[in-house]
Amino acid sequence: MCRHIEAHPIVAYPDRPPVAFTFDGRPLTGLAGQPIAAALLDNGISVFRHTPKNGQPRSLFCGIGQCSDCMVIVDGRPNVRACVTPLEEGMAIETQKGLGKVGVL
Amino acid sequence: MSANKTHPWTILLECRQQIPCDPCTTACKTGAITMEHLTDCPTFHPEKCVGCKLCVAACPGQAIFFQVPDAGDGQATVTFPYEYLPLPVVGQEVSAVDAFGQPVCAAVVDAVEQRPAFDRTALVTLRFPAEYREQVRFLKRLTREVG
Amino acid sequence: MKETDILVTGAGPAGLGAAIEAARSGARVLLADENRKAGGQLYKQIHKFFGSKAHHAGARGFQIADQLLREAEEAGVETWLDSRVLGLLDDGSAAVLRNGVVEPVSARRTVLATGAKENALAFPGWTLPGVMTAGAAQTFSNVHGTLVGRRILTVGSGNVGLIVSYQLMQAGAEIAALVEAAPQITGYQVHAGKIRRAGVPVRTSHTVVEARGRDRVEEAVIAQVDDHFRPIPGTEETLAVDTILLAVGLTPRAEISGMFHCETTYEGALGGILPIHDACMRSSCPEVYVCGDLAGVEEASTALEEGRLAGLHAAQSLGFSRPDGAERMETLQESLRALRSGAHAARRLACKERIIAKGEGGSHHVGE
Repeated sequence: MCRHIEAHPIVAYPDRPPVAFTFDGRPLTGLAGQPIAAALLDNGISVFRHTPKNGQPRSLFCGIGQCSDCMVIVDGRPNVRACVTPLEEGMAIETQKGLGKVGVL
Repeated sequence: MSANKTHPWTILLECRQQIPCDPCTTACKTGAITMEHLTDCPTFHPEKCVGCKLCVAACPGQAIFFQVPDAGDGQATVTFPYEYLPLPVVGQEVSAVDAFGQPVCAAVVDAVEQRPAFDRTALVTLRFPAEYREQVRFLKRLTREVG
Repeated sequence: MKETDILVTGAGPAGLGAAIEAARSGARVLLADENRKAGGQLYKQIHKFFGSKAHHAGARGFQIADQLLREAEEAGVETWLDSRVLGLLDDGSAAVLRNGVVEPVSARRTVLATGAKENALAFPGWTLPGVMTAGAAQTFSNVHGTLVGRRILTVGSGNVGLIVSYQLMQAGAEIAALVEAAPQITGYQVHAGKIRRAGVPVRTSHTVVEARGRDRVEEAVIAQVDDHFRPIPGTEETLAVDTILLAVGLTPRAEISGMFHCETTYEGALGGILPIHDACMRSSCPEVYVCGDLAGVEEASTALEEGRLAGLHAAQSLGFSRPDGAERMETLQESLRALRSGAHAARRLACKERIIAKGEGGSHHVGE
């Protein structure tokens, strides 16, 4: 569905070195500094969290850190906004289920 | 519509709404496009046009077309801005479409111009039977190889 | 406590314009923005801008942003990024969340340039992954290099819907259709012309009624609407799409102006509830100026000019005068008049005139 844009007629994207990260334990590759949400979408992942009451899937919605729909768990820390948080080497990213209390995943 | 008496080409200004925009008037170095107020529709003065096509690339609305109504052998050409990938190549056979993307006729790519002054906007020229010159405004977008 | 003459909140075109003019007038200016990069939405705008030379017309949005950032630096504006202005503390200073710590900032004038937020549209399935604001798709495509979908339905034919549809095609996506509930396209004809030439069906008097899919959008159901925008049963059509973009208007982000108790008014055509202001962008609270989309959703060009006006006047009100101040003020007012002339802008102009009439009237500036 989603993919990384390799060539664009107008935009010259910054060069970003590849970095390794995991999503729900799965080893994946992204680009350093791209938003976590972009790295997940580039890897074909579109469900970022499940809602507390009904377990419904949620994903990118506003893209600028305002709506909190895209929250994931990063290195054990819940409620990280995937759309505005830069990807770093070695990040362990997980689907957030519910409110994602610290230490209770 | 036919070309004016001075030149074999004409400029089609398909800008018909009063919006605040005048880059065509500053892109033109010879005063061939003018407007009094920012929200006026532009006026073309054919006798001053040197055919540089800078206005075609500059128009933020991509509403300016460079047309040669009679390009010889019963053919016409039209030049328009093109900001997609891949770019067509000269000699390529493409489908010419109208302002609504509807196919009009087959056309051959006559030129693909990229200049620093165009700021990343390529200008594509299509050659096609002159009878379709009132309709042809674009080409059916070429599909990109997707990974 | 950080002290400054003028605090500008929001580094989009309005905030940058305000900061540059105020700093050029000699005021100490602190520009705070919650993002990691200044420029607001300008960096997402990869098309050539309307307007005239004074508004950088013909340049692409990201080029205008680069230039404004340069000007701000040259003018000596201090910029805090990743710094969110949360609101006001009891002593009247602004609370800025910076590096995880709240820093109080005491400013003699505050210019609010908080912009606008995109509206959502609720329909069955709208929470599915793949339904998002047009701005999200634009940000990811034009800044981050990620295409959010391959086959897309756009909802809304304002300039945002038209431009983002065009830009996603530039990035390699297909726009299956664009639906607009109104009987006519609401954005500029020339923007609509770009996507129509590319073969996008623009369906006026149509809206989206359902998004279907298991874990993300797989189908969109659209339907024709009647004169009251109600879907007409029996007119439903199903489109195979993986993404639905919502381009259904913007609402001014007036939360902070509310904390300053700036008087508000309602102007639907400019986005809803917004703070009133006078002809120099001063709100009902004499220390506070408002500009850009916060003061009524228009365009980047108007936001920039309003910001410049606000910054210039805020500095003047503190005694920082420039030899060219009066002339500059008149130039900016004239520029705004030009941007709001013509038939397409008539509604916006009428709204702005009402807002300014309210801002100029009353007894707000007694003693100033």
